[in-house]
Amino acid sequence: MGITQALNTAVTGLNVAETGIELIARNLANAETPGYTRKTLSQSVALRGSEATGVTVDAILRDVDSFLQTQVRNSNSVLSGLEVKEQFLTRVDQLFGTPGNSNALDTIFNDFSASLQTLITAPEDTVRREDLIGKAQTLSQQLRTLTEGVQDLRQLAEDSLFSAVNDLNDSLNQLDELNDQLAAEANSPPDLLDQRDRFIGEIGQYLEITTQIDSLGRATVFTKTGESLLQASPTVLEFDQKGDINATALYSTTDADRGVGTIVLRTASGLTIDLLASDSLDSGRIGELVNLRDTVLVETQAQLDEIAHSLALTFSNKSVTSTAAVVGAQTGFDIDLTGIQSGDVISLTATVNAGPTTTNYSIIRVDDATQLPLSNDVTPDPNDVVIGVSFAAGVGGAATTLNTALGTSITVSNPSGNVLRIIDDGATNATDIDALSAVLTTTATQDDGTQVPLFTDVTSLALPYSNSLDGGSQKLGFAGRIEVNPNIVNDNELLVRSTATSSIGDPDRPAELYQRLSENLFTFSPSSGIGQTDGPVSTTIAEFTQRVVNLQTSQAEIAQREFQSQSLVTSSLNDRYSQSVSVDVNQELTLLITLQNSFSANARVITVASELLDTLLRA
Amino acid sequence: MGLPPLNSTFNLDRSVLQVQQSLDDLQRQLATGKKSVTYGGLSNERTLNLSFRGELAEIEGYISSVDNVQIRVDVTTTVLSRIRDIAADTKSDALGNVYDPQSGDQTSFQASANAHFAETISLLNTRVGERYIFSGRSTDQPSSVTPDGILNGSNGAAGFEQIATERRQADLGADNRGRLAIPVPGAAIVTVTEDNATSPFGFKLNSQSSSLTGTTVAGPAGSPEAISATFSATLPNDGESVTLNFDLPDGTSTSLELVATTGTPQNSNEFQIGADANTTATNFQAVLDTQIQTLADTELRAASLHAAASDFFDYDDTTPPQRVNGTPATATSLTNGTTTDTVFWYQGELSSTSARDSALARVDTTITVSHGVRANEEAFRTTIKNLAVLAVETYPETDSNALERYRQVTDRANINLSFGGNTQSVDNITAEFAVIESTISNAKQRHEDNSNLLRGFVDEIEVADIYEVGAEILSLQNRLQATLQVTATLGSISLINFIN
Repeated sequence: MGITQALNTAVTGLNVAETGIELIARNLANAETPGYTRKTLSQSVALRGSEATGVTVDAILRDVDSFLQTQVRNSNSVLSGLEVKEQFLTRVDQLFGTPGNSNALDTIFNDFSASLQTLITAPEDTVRREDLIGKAQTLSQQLRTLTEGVQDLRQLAEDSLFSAVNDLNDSLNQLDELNDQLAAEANSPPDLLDQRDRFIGEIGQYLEITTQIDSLGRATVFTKTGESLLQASPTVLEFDQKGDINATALYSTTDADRGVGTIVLRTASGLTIDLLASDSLDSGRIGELVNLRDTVLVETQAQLDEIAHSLALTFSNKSVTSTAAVVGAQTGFDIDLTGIQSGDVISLTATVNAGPTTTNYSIIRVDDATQLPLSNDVTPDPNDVVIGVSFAAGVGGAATTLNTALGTSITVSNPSGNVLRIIDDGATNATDIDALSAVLTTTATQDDGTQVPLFTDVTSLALPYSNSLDGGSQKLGFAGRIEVNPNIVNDNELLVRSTATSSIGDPDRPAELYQRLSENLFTFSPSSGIGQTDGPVSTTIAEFTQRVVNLQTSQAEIAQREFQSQSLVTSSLNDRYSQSVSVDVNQELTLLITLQNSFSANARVITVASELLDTLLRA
Repeated sequence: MGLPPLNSTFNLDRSVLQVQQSLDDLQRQLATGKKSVTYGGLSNERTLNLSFRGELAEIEGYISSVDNVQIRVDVTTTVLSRIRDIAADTKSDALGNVYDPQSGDQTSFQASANAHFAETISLLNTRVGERYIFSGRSTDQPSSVTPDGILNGSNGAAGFEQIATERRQADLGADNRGRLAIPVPGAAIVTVTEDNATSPFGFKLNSQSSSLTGTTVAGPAGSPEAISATFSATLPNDGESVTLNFDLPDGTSTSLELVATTGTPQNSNEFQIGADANTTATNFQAVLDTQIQTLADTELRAASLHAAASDFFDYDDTTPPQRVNGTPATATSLTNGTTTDTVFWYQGELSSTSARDSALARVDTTITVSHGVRANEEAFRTTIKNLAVLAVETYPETDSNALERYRQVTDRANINLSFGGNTQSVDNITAEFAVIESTISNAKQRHEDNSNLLRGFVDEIEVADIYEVGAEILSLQNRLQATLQVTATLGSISLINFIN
């Protein structure tokens, strides 16, 4: 121990103070740098043997609460998903127009309905007929516009997915580079760690991830379901972006049927995993975009299609009743199926007397063999058994098919013309035929009853809308194709004259059409997202339209609320996190003063030691 | 704990942003007067709003229908009341009016009937907007052809005058005896025989009654039907009589009483009891023959005219107008008129369905008002038929039977126009329209009340209250100012400002 020792000790003190000041300078300079965390100095007593010889800098530390950090990241992931959802659904809300304005779907529907209603009073008035045609055109136009809007949003989701996947790949690559750098450094420099956290945070915004730091100090990234995004090297995410997305372009696990892009994860070993098929993405920006594109907006479209479907069918449906048929001991019914269209439904009720069990069959005309057999979900009725039958070979051919399909106790035949005969097993009495009826689609505008196909499918004028299943469901995307029957547009008297000789003042057809539109209950398919599978909604079209508007616009409101509450959560987490890691200028300045004092004190020690040595030498 | 740097205070950023967004929204509310430009923004009240808007549109449709129907009902009621007046006036004038043939051998009452006929036809062709209201569903067709066309025919098709002439010839027969054969008796038997069993024309023997002593009056029997009077050696006594009852073409009936007298007959219906059966039979036949001819020229002709009116005016969607088949004087049946040979006076909708149902109006969710009317409804038909009957034919003073014939024609018109029995009258239709009128007035009142109520609700949901918005803007302004003020104060409290 001696003066020299004091001098040395003071020098270490000066060094530490200098380092501390340098750190404060760095902290203050980076106070506003994103992702920068406050660095602190860790110092300890320098020992030589058991003797303290001064002070030494142990390390420059960053003080990060990694649990809070994970929470912030997950919360941000949810928030960025909700932000996308809110943006898209607000657009949907806007598509449905301003309440009471002429651009609102329900106003347009109500106007159409009121116009039809007043036509009953004055069918001879050509102005009113024109008005009704105009209102019908506005309605079909609005359904088409809405479809276009919804599909544009799906396209936007598709495009956004493309850029999101690209950005995600970028971030993964940058993180990988950083991993390499960190692995190369002996003791991870805290500033590189800051950078790494920033990239992980960015990746987290795209999808929900879990990260781990491996033994080499590398960050590994996994999806929620455990697919690796980054280990030794980054996996490449591929997105096969599709242009021209329309209502029929849907996601499918089969590549050939897939109309939209999917995200494929390609590992270094060349293995590919369809992330959408494995359901790995349900939050974050990418997860929400996929959800919007494949679920939310598809459901919106399904509801629009359901409105268009009900509008077309309610005006063109024709109920056909059967007549009793007796062949020896066998009894049943005959029904005339002249004019049956693809998609038309024949309802048969049959009882097996042992039990007894009564079954409702819905026999649907489907000429396209690739669509068979049909699922029972094809009709909204939850309790029926659906049989698809081809009428390509006429009623005779269909009877042969049905005869096989309905079993040996029920005999189906084609006694003449277009008559279908369904009879029981007679004396054996194992079965009874209880009822037989059909709902056929009218295609003619005259001489086929008071109903009229007011709305048709723009792509198939020769084949009006009959909810055909041939070559895929005609309902799918029908809202984008619905238009007013061009024959009626050309001759608006068809709105009144149900036969060529009907008087122009005959109110029967308008009255029937209005009755169908405003009072008859229509059963809506639960696949549209309104109503349950075991209890489909049966209501008027007006009421259903209101429900659709309500549901679609409330989604926007709910998304807004979710977004707001989530941003509150996220921002408070962010606040806490940033308060724990951010640079507090006052704190730094206080520290600076302390260090300044420490520096002065150490310098004083050196001065004193120097004076002491001088005295000693002069003495 | 220290103060974080000002611009890293995320919370502050956000709250200032929120206040600004709220201000923007309030400004928009102020400018547009609407709480929200989307349904999403209406929040919980959206469902109510959608439903109110739906109801409002429906109600407005109903009100528009009611307005439309009200005009029609008003016009219809006015027309009905005028036709009712015409029918009533004609009915009262038909009874006991003055037989005063003017130039053209028609009475002044006939001239007024002619004018009323034209007026009624014109009323039935009333149009409201584009709509002929008396044509049922055929609203683009006037309900009837012109009065002149109806009476005189057009384009080669026969009018009522010609139909009536043919019918008269058919009913009277070539010898003007109303299709009866009353041959001069070869013995003591006088027979009166119809010319044809199925023919609708002329007198139809209905029954007879006799108080003639020793004389057998039998029939009607046989085919064609005949009545015979067989005189015997026991001759009738003075004052005894025989009565023959006839059915007439228009559904009325008449009778002819012949009285036996021992002296010279004082009245035209008396026959002298001769020396024996044969002479008495001859006297009987001669008086009968004359009497039948007179009856044919008076009452039968009047009945024939009314029957012709029924043939011409009463037709429906299954049976066209009827006219004499073949040469009138010898014809034995009626045949369907065609549009080329006969005027079809009614041009509107021909249907067996209810006339009211030919025009419908939905005035409420469950109320459909049937307010159609057709000019060929019985009440109108009866009116114009009788007016037409009165308007045609001449009654010259030179014709000794003309006065009686005129009385028979006008009496029948008087009876017909009293709409007796189950005949539909104009008043019946008017009463139906009174019910319609009150139904739609009530509906309209109800809809207008509801509409006001609903509009109030809708406005409450949609319309932004300007005072509320103003107050909110002020409060937000205060909040924003306070936030910024505090922020500025906090920002200035920093060590930087205190270190030299």
